Amino acid sequence: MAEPTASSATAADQTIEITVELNGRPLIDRVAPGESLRAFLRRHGMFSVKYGSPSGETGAGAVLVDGRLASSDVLLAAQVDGHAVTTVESLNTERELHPVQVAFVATGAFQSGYSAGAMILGTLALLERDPDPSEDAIRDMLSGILDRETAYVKPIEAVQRAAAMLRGEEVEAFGPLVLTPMTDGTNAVAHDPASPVPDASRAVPRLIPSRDVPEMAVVGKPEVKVDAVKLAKGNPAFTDDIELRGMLYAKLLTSPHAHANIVDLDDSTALALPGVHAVLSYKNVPRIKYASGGQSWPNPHPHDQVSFDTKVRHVGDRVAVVAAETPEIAEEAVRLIDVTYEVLPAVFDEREALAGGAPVIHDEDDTEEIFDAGRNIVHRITAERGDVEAAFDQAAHVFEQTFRVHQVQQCPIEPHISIAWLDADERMVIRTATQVPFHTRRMVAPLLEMDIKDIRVIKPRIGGGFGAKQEMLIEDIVGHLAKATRRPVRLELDRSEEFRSSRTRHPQTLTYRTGVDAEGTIVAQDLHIIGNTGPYGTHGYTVQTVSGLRGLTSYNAPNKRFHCDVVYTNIPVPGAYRGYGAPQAEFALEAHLEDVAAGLGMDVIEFKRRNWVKVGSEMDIAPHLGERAVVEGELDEYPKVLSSGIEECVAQACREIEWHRRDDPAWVAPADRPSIRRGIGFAFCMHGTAIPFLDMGGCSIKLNDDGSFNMLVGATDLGTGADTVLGQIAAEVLGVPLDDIKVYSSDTDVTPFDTGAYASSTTYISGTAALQAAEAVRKRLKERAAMLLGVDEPCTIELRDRKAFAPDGRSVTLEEIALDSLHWQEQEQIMGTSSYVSPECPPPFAAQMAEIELDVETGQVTVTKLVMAVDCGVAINPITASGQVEGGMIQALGYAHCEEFAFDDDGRMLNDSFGPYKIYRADEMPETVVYLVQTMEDSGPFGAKAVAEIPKDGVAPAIRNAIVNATGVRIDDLPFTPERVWNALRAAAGSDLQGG
Amino acid sequence: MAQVAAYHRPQDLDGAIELLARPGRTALAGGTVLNADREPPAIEVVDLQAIGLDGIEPAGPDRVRLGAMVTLDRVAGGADGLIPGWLADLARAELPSTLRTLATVGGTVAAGGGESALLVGLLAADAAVEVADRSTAAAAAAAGGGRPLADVLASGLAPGSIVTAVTVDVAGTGAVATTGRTPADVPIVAAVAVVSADASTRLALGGVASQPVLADPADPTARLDPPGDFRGSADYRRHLAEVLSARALEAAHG
Repeated sequence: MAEPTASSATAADQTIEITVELNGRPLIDRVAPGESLRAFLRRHGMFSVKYGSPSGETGAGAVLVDGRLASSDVLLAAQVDGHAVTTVESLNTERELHPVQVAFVATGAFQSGYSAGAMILGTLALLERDPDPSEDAIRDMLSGILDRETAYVKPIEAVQRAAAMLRGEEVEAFGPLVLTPMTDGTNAVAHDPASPVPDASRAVPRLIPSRDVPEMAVVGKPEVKVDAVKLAKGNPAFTDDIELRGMLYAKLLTSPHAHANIVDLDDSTALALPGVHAVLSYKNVPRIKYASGGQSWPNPHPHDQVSFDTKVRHVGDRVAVVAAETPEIAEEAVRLIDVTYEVLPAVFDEREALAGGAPVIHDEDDTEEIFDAGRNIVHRITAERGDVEAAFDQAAHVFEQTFRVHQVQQCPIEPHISIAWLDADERMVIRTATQVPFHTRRMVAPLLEMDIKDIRVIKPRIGGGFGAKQEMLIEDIVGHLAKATRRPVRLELDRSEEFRSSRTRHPQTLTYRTGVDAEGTIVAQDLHIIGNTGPYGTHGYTVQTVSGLRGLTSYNAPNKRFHCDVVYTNIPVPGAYRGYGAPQAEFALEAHLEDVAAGLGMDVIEFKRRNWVKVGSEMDIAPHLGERAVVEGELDEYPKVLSSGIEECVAQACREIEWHRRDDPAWVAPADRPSIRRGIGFAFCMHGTAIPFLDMGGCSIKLNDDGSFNMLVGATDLGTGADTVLGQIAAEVLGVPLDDIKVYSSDTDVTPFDTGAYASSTTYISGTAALQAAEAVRKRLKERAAMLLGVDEPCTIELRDRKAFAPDGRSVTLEEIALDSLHWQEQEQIMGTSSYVSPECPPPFAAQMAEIELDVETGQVTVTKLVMAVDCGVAINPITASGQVEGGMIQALGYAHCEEFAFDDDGRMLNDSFGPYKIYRADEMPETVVYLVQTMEDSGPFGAKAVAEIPKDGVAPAIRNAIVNATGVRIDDLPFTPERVWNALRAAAGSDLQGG
Repeated sequence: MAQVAAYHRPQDLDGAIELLARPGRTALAGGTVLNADREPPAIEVVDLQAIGLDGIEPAGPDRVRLGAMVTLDRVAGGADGLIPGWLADLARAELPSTLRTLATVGGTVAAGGGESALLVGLLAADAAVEVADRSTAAAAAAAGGGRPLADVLASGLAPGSIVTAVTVDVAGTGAVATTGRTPADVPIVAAVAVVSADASTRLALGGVASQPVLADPADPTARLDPPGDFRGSADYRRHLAEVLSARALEAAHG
């Protein structure tokens, strides 16, 4: 490259000419002085360069500048004048993948793949400098690329594998480590300290097979994800990766106040700004009530939102929106909107919101079905079995404990983004990052005053969701603007808006009372929750319902009671977040029962084992909760647990974590590190699999000329591998390799209905729909094969290896069947369609272990190891399943340890960027190990249960219980930040002193 | 992103000083702070990348001179042993990989900030900051040995001036003690102690004031009045300062 030249651009000449060597070729262009390198690269079609945050710490927009990995977010395009810039598109000169891309694909290192380009580029740069990097060096390289999905385990493996490949070494196929069961599948075994811990890469799931599970060709295999190649290449697959002529850019004006009436809004100056096409607010958008939670029809009441209101109820609440020619003009126009507020008192804590005299957050007269608006109580949820108070009276021991859990965010690296336009038929097309395309279409229609049939919602590749995108969040805004301007309109939340104006996890105050008999059997359990739903109901009812369900189902008790007040406050809006109420309840439950065991003088696992649900146990609180709850006596039979691998999970997890060390004083208090205490904690985890009688998935499959299949599913792959898993199920049925199933999801005009990606439902619900659709196709394939082979009984035909075999061994290929059926005789399109709703909700189980070190002088907790052994039935793909567990654990680790919304006294968030809001990086992750314990769940497709959410449930209580093991101190609030722990240690020391 | 009204790339230091002499212009080093400003005023930037200032060289028997445009990534690499391991580690911990390749020594000093553990380390390493402006030729700035970093942090840089280099004591034995929410978090409090070749001890603390400060090794928390925030209250920070100072001093003294 030429030496950089003296250059200058000012407002007078507006642009500067730069010369960049982009992917090895010179590029000359004119740029505005303030144009970011990311914007410049995307303008030149480098769609692999993603937006994650304006300050660059997500790394999604990292590229190579002169061979060094650097954020394109904080570089001006002008700064790279005279330099070489490399994006992952540089590798895509051929169809074949580069070895680094191959390694990432082979190891399942991509989930959503949103930051794939940055990871591959970082690997290239690292291996250029060091062909055999240490794991620390790899972690350091990845430290600048935040990954909310993988826990970095498989990306690290991918870099090591790529290094070996580039050194010319042979690499083994990547797959699970198959281990011998330690139990008979039902009964506990004693922990043996001498039993050696299996030795294998941490990226490899340990798989414990079940005798009940037959060998299969595709299901259960570590197949490469069906979307891996396009992710590895950085191909334009995400919502923002399209270019539309005349597209306008939208920008929100949000409230600076936690609670205020809008007295007036003057948009005249903004509208007069050249390039501004529309300003929308309460003044020109119809007041139509809705609830934004992405849920099945009818959406639970209250419908307490409108697109733009005359009142704001949290900092970050919508006030107005601008559409303009450029993002810069839109931002300027937002600054020019003059809003007059009448600031009102605000309340943030759910306990204070209930108190007399608290400000009333919903005082409007057009919201129906608020339980008690004057006391800010949105819902009151109650359920009871047996006679709890009588049981407490008779119990040998009664324990009561109150916990507080806090507000955190899902933090998908891809923020919310939607693009809307009117198509040639003047139908509204909304291309959006959503988990619920069908719900969104139905919910947005009335707001836009359009018929559902005139709206098409397209869900492209999604850069993570975790529940944040189980919401009709901004689709109404782009729809309104597209109608108003008749131009395509794009709205993307920036990172600060993502924190303040999207969705979060519900804070709660939980109080448990547990009655236990003299033998240690639980006789009664009462759970009282005050749930904080912020200023809008959205998922407030259902999340708290799940808290009650999960909080009172894991352990048997003949008497149970749930009482919950869901209350309005002025915090940013809670909504759906992976786990959906379970992590809150299971933290409290597993911490509480740890302390109950200690109070009884019992071994904690023995006490919990005595009481946890087993095969045949009734899940007896479940039918009494939810929108379709029944009262006691209405049911003939309660749903039962039909499969459980918990004893194998506990045995494997105890061996891996070396459970016996927690009883060794020399290990707990190492002599050579006097300020350090070590501990190991355990949590029993139980989750659900889909919502029975509610979650529905659809699938259609059709045969192509070459014997391959197109599979259309409404299910929404967020990066979880759902498309791959559904494809594997169909491939298994149809006797073809996975590559012969071309999966497309999801588009409301094209694919069958699906309720969406939530509630751990996709594999089980949509998977069964895929199974049944494939079976319908298989039936017709057999009939056509029988005709071609002259076989009388089609049922005797077998499909395998892309062929249909007669009992005598003769065969016909699926391609021959396809050509015959499509072109030759009795022509037809062989296809199958199915949909599925389950009456069951088979629970996955898990044993979660955490190992920590605690500095007693500073309160700093360092989590050194997490182990989860999970029974998810049959893992359809053990690599994607283990990736789900790894990624879930890292999110749960953040919840337990460091993530927390912080506010000033006026409700303004103090840490609305990554860094101050701390999520884990690659160079600080503890060791994580995943065990997949097979069980055969007969109600699931090929024996599958759910795996997506259970990893969120046990980390916080396991860490908390490890702190107890290390110090004896019991902390009942999250997260375990240094000062909170230090205060607890001081308080315990003080009480010890007081106690003499 | 910064609202950049104009971009300039001078080819030498004199050109940069001339450009920065006019009001409304700001020196642009790596851009990790300036370009990440979320609510920026409209500015003109003077990009310093072409004016040199990117060398790492010995400056006498016990000191090393770091050019202002040296990236933190290069400091983290140790410069072939010129930079002591504890200081290289602080540079590595300062920012993640994708920003460390951009951020510079001079930018770190100019941006300041009470949470920068690298600045704490530079303070403890007796850093001197060479600054050039219209009244001071670059050579003269270097010859003068620079201003103590503590002064620069306390009083800031004059408008129109440019950090050209930072020299640090590399002969001493350094030790770092920090507490954060996670292992790679920005420390709530950081303490760095350096025992220099003449056996004198320097102690610097971060997270206890708006800028890192030098503390008395014999009484580290004397006169400390830490600000509190959501990561740590004033009382907690004072406690950490006491604990971490003791640890750093003990480790530095071996």
